[in-house]
Amino acid sequence: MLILLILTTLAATVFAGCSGAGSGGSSQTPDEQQASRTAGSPEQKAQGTGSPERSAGGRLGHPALGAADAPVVLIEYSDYQ
Amino acid sequence: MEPKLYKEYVKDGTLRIEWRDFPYRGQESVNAAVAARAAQAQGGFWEYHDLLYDSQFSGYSDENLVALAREAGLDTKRFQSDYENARYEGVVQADFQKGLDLGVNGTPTFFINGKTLVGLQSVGVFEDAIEEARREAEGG
Repeated sequence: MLILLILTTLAATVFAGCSGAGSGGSSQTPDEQQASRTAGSPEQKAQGTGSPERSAGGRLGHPALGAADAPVVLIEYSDYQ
Repeated sequence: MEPKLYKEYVKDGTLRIEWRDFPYRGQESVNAAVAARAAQAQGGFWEYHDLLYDSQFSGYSDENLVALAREAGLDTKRFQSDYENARYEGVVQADFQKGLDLGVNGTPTFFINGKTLVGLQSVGVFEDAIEEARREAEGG
């Protein structure tokens, strides 16, 4: 009877461990993980600093002047009027 | 953008300038932005951009926008096709929506490493902001 109890406890422990690994081993919810990936200063991180002139699929990137790895990025929102 | 900033900071690799469309003054604003992106597709964005500013008081009729493409030395047939089919309007509208999401409500609005400057500014204001951003980026 004691052996059966030990085996049951061991099996439960192993099962719980496998479930954690299956979700990536993280205690974060999917929403929290998403928030962690996107955290940062609003404009710098949201806009990125290395926009190509052209990106894949024929879509245009942001027009830009200067090195993609420049330490300072100035983003100008404007119109032509 | 002020040529002095280009000479002082872009050429030495300190500064990168990125353009975002924020056409909030009606259909002609949108048309000009879409036309500039059609120029970009041919590698002529900045030339066309400068021509648009130089001719802003003439208005941005379809005829004027095509004439500017010709003046910029672009393939006008391709330009006209891209422009008339509004091929890049989605790109322009995506910029506009992103600007709204970030709280932009007028032009020009600048973000320098995340710090906001609203409205036309003197070169000195930009220089100060760029130097400060550079110091922060270098950990100072």
